[in-house]
Amino acid sequence: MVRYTLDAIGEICPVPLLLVHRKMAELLPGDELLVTTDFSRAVRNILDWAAREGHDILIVDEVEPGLWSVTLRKIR
Amino acid sequence: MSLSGGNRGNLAGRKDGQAGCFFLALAVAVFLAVVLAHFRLEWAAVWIFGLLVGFVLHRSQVCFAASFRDCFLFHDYAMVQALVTLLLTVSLGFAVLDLTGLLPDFPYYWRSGPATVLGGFLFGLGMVLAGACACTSLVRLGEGFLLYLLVGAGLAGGTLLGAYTYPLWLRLGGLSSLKPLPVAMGWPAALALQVGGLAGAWWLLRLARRRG
Repeated sequence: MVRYTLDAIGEICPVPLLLVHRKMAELLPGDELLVTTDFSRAVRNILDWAAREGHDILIVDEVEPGLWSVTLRKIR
Repeated sequence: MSLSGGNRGNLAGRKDGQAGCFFLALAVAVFLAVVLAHFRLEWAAVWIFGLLVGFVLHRSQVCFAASFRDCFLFHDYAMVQALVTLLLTVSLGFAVLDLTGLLPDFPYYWRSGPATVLGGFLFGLGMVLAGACACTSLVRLGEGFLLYLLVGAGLAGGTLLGAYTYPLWLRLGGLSSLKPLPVAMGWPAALALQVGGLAGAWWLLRLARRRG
């Protein structure tokens, strides 16, 4: 299992989800991706997309006011 | 960048700072409501209603830009289905308000035509590039995204330009006066057409969501 990070800070919708989409395609099943974003709507977008695609949503956290981290695990 | 628990040491202090900002903003909002009510009670009601709508938009993360964009980009139909639900509710709500005589100025006449299509396309393009429409730009600005000051300036500039060039569009024949559906065909037929069409769209979107 490899843990990747993706910094989407300063990016507005839909860029954070497009970056996640692209990065997850490179991962192998079991790999994890930690995404950080400061765009609140992007968090919702990433969670909805991950749920639809069947990826595990491991952690969702507001690490600082206005800064969120989402950790996903690729399943298939 | 460390995102571990180490950052949490400063979190309580920052949250306290936010609480101070909240009470300051609340005091300003109440002060403005009192001032507006002094001139006209309706203005204060609109101000308070606007604040409440803003709060709901922020907490629900409703995004009209996402509703149009995500169905094409990510095959995500949830938000566009929510938008259709909103239009259904508004259509029924307007019918109820008009039929009970609560809308003295109804029907509203708007000019429409090819220029509206062009304007809609330009607005849609800007909305997707900015990542938010008019109301969600205000929500993002409220969250502290200063970029949306620029978006707001663009919106204001575009609106002014639209108003300034309005006579030109009229001369070019890009706008004509259209009868609202309830005037053209009466409320029962207009409701059947609009609610039927929207309900059909809602059902198709539901089908699309189930198929993923």
